[in-house]
Amino acid sequence: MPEEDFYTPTDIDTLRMENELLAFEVRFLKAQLAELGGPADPRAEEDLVLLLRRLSNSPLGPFLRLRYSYRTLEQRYLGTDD
Amino acid sequence: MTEISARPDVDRRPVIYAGRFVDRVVAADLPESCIVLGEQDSPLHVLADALDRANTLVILDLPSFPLDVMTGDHWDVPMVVVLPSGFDTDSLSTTVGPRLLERLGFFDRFVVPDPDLWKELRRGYCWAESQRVPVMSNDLNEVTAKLHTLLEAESESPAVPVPDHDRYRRDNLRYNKALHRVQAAALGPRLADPPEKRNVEAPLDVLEVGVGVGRWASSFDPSETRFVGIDASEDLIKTARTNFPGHRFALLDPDLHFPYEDESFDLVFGVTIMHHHPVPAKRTLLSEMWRVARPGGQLLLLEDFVFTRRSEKPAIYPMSVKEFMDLALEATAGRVVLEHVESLRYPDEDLRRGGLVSLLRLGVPKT
Repeated sequence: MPEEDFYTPTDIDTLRMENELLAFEVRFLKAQLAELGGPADPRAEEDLVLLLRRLSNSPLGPFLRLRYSYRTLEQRYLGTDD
Repeated sequence: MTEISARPDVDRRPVIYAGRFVDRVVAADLPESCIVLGEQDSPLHVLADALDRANTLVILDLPSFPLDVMTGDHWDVPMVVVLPSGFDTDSLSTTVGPRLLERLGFFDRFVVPDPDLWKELRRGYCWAESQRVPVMSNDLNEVTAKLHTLLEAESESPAVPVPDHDRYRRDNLRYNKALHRVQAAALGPRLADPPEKRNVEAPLDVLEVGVGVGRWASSFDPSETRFVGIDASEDLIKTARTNFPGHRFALLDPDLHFPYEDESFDLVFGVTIMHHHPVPAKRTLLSEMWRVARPGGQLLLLEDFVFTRRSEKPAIYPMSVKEFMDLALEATAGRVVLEHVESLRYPDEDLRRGGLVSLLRLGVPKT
C-alpha cells in the first residue's frame, strides 16, 4: 500500500473476523505463557503468609515445626528464626 | 487453494535465462512476452530487475546461471530448470543440491530427458511426477519448442483451454507459490514433528483430507511416513496418484465419511478445505477427522478465517475462527485440546486471513 494512503476499512465483517482471529491467537499465546511460568500473582504470596501465620499460631504449630520443610517455610515467609 | 489476484499493477513476464545459448534462443519461436537474457546480462542488477517482474523463470543454461542473484522473494518465482546433460543424481546434488534443488518444490518444473535420472531425483527430493517436462533429448530446438507450449499454456489467455483440475496451478502461479511458502513455513514444522510421535522411531500414519493433486504429499517421505490422501474429486485423485506413486490416495464418498477404522492416524490434516462446505458438512468432516485420529494424535487445520466481499466464487461458506472452534468442540464433544494457534498474513495482503489451528485428540487408546 502506498505510504500516503490511509487504511480505509471497507468491510466491517472482514475486520470483525480478522479481529476475532488475532484475539484468539493472543489468548492462546497468553495461556501458553502462563503455562510456561509467567509472572506470579502477588496475591498468592499474601495468602500463603496468612495461612502460615494461622497454622503457626494454632495448637498444631509446635508439631508442624518438628518438620524441617515447615520451618523453612516459616523462615522464608514469616521471617522467624530457628 | 484460495486464489486472489496478485499485484495487478505489476506487468509480469516469463524470463528465460539462456546463458551461452542466447543467440539460438532469441532466434527460436517463443512467446513474444518472454524476456530472454544471456551471459552478458549476468551482472546481478540486470537479472535481479528482470526477476522482480518475472512470473516464471526458465533456467536454460544452469551451469552459467549466477544463483547468488536469487534473493528474498525471487524464490517465489516459479522456475523451469533445464537439467544439463552429462550429470547424474550425485553430481547434480553436489553442485546445485543445497543451493537450488532443495529449495524447489511443487510449483517448479524440470526439463529432464532421462527418465531414470528423473525417477531418482523425484524420489530424492519428493517431487511430483507432473513437475517433469518430458523431452527426448537436450536438443535446444526440442527444449525451446516444449518451453513455448508450456509458457503459452500458462499465459493469461492460453490458446489451449486449461483443464479444471490443473487450473489452480496455472492462475497466478507466482502468487500461489508465494502463498504456499507462507503456508509451508507454518505447517511444515508441525507436519514434520507431530506431538504424538516426538522421539518415537516409528513410521507416521498421516491422512490429508482434501488432498487435491497432492501439493502437501511432497512434504512426506514415503520411506518414513504412511501417507494417505482423500478427496471428493476423482480427477484430482487420479492426478495425485500419478504425481506421487509412493503414497496412497482414495476417493471420498459424497456423505464425507472416511473409509478408515477409528484411531488409524497419528496426524490428520487439511488445508483450506472447510470453506467449500456448509456447516453440516463441516461438522461431519471435523467429526470424522477426530474419529480416525489416535488418542494424543493431532488434528491440524490451516484455513481462511477472514473473508472479503471480493469473493464472487460460488460455494464459499465463510467461517470465523470463533465459529470454527465452536463447531470443532461440538463435533468432537469437547474431546480435543488446543495445541497451537497461528495467524498468517499472505504476500501483498493487508489482513491476516489465514489461521493454523492444531487440536490434540483426548482419550485413551483402544487396547
